[in-house]
Amino acid sequence: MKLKLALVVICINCAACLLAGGFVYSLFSLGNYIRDKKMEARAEADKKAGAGKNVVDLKLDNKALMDREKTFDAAKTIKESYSKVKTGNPQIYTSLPEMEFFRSFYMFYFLSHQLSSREVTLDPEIVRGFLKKGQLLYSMDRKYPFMKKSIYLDRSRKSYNKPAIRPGTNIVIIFVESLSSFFLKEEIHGVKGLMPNIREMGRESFAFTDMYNSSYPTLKGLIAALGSALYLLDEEVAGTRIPVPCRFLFLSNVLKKLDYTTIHIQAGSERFIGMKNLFTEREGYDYFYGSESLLLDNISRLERGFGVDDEKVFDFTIEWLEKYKGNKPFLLTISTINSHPPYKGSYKHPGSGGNPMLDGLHSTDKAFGTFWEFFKKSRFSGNTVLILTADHAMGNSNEYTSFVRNFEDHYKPFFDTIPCFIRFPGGAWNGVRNGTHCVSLDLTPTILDMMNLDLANPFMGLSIFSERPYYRPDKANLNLKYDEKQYETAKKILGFYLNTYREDRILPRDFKVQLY
Amino acid sequence: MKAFFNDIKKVFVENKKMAMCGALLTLTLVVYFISWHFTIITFGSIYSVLDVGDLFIRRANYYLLESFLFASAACIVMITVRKPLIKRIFIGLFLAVFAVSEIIRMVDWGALYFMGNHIDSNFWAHAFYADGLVFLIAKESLALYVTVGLFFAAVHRILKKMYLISNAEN
Repeated sequence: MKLKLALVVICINCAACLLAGGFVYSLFSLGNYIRDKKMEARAEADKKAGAGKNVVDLKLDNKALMDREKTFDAAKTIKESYSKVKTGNPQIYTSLPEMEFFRSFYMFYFLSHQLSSREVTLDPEIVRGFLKKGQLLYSMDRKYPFMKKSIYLDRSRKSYNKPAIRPGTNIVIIFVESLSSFFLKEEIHGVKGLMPNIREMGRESFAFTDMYNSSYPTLKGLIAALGSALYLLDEEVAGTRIPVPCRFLFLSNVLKKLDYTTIHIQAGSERFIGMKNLFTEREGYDYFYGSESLLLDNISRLERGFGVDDEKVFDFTIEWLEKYKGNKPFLLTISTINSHPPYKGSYKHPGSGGNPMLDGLHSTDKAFGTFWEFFKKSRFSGNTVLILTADHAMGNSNEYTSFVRNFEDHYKPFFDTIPCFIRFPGGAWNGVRNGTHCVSLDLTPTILDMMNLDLANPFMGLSIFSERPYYRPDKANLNLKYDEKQYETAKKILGFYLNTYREDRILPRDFKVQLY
Repeated sequence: MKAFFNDIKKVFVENKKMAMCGALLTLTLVVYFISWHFTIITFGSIYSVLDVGDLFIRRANYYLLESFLFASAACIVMITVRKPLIKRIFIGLFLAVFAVSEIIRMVDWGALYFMGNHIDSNFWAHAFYADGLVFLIAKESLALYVTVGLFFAAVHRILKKMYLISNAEN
């Protein structure tokens, strides 16, 4: 009896499945049928409205190919359709969420955990490969593989044809969240007045025009730019990301030796992965202000995003600078947030078409504009180097994809060119452009090179003026395909990096900045 | 053969409620699984479901089979197992697995909709810091909670009904 009942129930379930399947297929067929009909009707209507004007009839016979205009039209249409298909990956919408979840969990936690668990010594062949790309390993100490004696691999290459920064000059570095250079190219994307203030600063400054971000996301971007290091260790799910377990040599550590006051102001949380601790306890910062410090008069804005508004950040910066009466020079680093998902900007740009990412970028620009106007007229204009760059390129959010889909050649999520504008005191070197292909890792060595400072260091970047022209960095390639040997090598290199970070072997424990 | 079919017919008539509950559970699971993809494609992507037709149909087939297997397993346990305690444990397990799946799907749907990608290592990097899950306090996310709640209530109700019917028959 029970067996028969089970059989009946299975049959009924099967019938229910077939019914549901039939329903889905029917809807699909109906949808396809309606779509085909609509397309036919539109084609017919276009034909009647005057064929040849907007309709592209692509027949690749000689006659058509000889019609230059028609052929170009056809090519354009094909490119547009191709771009629409290519600038997104429809497969992500049909993959299994549960599988994605567990796979990403495994990749994030266990893989990194396993790979970082033992010390890896790289083979000489790999070390030679690194050197060819401008990274010297094991030159001082096997335990601290990145340490080297100088910021130059070959001192004879030190360039003197470069801007100079007198030690004692104030330095302000602004890291704009996710600012790919593309967003500053109004002539390409066509949204006029999207970031007028940053563009103006770019026009009135020295600029590196071919700088790529080395890392993603923000924390790694800051470590790359300020500590010239690729930080790859990201793990631990229970509670939060683990605080960064190692110490880097930041620009702030070096400048402390010259008695600089060091301040970091950011819109995001100061507690996040122990950022405040990292900056103040290990990287030589005297003051650190994050969303928690800036929160009190900003609660309503915090509710709309996950950090304070950039307006608040720049207002606070202006206030801080106005109050600064110290005799010491300072290094001030600022990190913005409005252009980070979920893009909670205070201003809407009329040409954004409701795209919150563009509104976020526009809001950051507005906030920066206030600072920029203040800075130009302030007492700091003549004794401060102002640098504006990005922490990294824009990520692959829906807002980004939908905006860039019409500019396929510029679709470079995560890794892309980023601006690097430097305004020297008094406007020296304004308008000069340097097109050296470089990466954000190069920022700190380049600043030290301009300041004519040298020291033992674990930097992975090179001075853009002196040595980067000799070592072309790899362009980011997210679609790597490895054979087995390459895969093993890549795994070894990743293990080498991860273990070095985990065991805090970037800088020797007793390391002290000794300037040459 | 005729006798066999008559027998089956008789069994069906006598256990109509249990059979209907099974079918309802199958359909609920089918709708639960398929609507996840349908809604994310419709509301959260630049594609329409027709654009990703082949992939969608393939996924739908998989879900039809999965729903059939899960629902049938639940029915068979309710019919064959005598002890109410074991049935209750099974229902608890079923609901726990379903709830885990719902939470994963809710967060993943939100990640795809608000951040443009599945839960990935970047998500984990931010997960328990405010911005990884910040969308869960967005007003739009109310729809996610309501949907998840409704599906859970529906599955719970069907399983409970099956449990009561099977106990009454025993």
